[in-house]
Amino acid sequence: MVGEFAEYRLYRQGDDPRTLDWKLLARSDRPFVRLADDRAQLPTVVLLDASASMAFPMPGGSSPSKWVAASAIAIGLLAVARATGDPIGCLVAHDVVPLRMAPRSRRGTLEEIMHRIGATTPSGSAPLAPLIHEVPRHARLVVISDALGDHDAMVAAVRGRLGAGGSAMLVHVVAPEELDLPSGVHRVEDPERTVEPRQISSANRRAYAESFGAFREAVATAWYGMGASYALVPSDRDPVRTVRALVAAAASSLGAGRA
Amino acid sequence: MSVALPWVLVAAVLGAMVVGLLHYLARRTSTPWLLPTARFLPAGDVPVTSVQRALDDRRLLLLRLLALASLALGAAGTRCTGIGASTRHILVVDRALMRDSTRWVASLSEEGRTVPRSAIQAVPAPLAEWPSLAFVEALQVAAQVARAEPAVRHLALHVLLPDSVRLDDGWAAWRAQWPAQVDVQVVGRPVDERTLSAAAAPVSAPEIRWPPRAGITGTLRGFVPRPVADTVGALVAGGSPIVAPWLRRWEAVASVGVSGAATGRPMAWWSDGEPAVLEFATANGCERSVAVETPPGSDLLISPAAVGWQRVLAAPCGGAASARRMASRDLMSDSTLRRASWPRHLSADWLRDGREAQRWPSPRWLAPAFLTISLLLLGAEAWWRSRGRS
Repeated sequence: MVGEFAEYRLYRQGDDPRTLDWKLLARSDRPFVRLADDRAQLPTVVLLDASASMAFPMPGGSSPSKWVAASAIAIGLLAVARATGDPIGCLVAHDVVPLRMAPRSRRGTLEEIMHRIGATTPSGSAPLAPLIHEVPRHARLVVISDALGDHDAMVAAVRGRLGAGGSAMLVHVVAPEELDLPSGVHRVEDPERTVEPRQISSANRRAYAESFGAFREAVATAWYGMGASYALVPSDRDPVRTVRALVAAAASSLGAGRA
Repeated sequence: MSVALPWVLVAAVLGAMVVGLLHYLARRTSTPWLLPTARFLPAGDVPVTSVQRALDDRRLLLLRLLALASLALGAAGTRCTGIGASTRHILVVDRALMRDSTRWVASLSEEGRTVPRSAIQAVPAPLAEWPSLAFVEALQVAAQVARAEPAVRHLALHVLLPDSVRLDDGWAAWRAQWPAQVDVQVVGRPVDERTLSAAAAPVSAPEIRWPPRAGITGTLRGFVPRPVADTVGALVAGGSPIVAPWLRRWEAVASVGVSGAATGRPMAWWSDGEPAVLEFATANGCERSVAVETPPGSDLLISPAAVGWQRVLAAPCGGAASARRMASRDLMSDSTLRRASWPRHLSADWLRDGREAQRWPSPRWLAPAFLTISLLLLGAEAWWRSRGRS
């Protein structure tokens, strides 16, 4: 084993059996793996969805766009990870200018990520699943998306990562306008042109709420079901509070894992 | 500003409301709203157009409303009373004084301010003989002014009398026909000595000459037959009128302007001021030509209303309406001239037929102007609409 012993962690499917502490297993009847220093530095990679749907609501709306909220959350999480000494990396799924920054610990990484994210305008409908495969297996993956793109392929990719011992979290960003449609009759179009134009009216408002609610439920179930973390975040929520809540949830899950 | 047909404006307001409503609820191609979660809405027919609930095409609406307003103002017979003089001054001047009318007109003032020349209408009349003709002439001119110039709101009457006039019994009766204050001024003039000597002639019994009956050829001194007989509403004699549908077949020669004809002294008048009875001095006294005809068996001239008539007819020569010269200042002492209960000026509406007065716009060019503006605005509206489509 390379590096000095740092801590124990519960064995997960896919961990190298050579890292198992057999003596501890014999004493406690629970499988723990020994983590060395180099593995204790857990790289954190944020995968940002920069498809056209993330630009909703458009500038001038009553709340910030999902992209603005996602960018703020991403930078907040990366800043927290960087503060603990973890390497940070970022992937932005964009049709034209995708961003691929491998995890690294050197100075200025966070500022560079901030600059690159700030220069990105959401458009197109770039898939996220291929980028998930590019994330190192041992890295902590945080996907920030509205899950309206290649969600099924993304779940399959994350499932493969989790099976290989990685960890993942989905920060599901939704806009308040999506949760509560505006009143009146409107002709609506999907910015990513996945469906034909539809109409908002008082007659189908209830059906929409039920259908969208079922979708959110299905997304949450899929992520929880494969052992990943999931958080639903409205885009108008304060990003600082959101980051605190996400970090606290991650710490508690880690604590539970250690226990 | 007023309008002759207010209901046209009411209709225009209703029309404007309909136009505004149509603008407000116009069906237009709806602008799609980008919603990433559109897939969760049930699929179905999506109307391409939608009812517009926000006011749109403001310039087009403005053009349409302005065109409608111009059309309504033109069709409603708009009257601008602020254009032109609102008070017209009628100056009735004795014919002998008419030569200096420019001077009288220039000196005419009211409340210390000189009346503008454009607001004065000077009318000559033989006031030295028949001062009450001032009211007859004034009423005729006033009626014409009121009919021809709807902008005129008030009429002021100024009478310029010579220094002395013959007594006129019709003065009070005609004075009552002008229910407003009258400005009477007296101007010095040499007295006609011949007239004065005639007026001083001895008084004797008159000889009454009645007109020949209809169908019988004959003459009546001082009168000529009218080409076409007409009717008149009243006969004024001895200061009291006899109202009846009088048939008038004779006309005073002084009225038709026969040169060289002897003009007698009028003793009774028709309601339009024309003499009905003339008195001529003769060697034996006087002769009275009565151009008044009554239907056979009529008791009009012996009715209680004809007391004045009877007094005039029975008066001795030179009596009743005495030929003697009297000072015009006697007429000025008429208490009714400045009666405080009467308005200072006569309202022009009093002389107008209500419907006739309100029928036409004022000034006359106003309605065509409004209609032209309306057409121009409609043209601009059509151009703007076609520009929006292209």
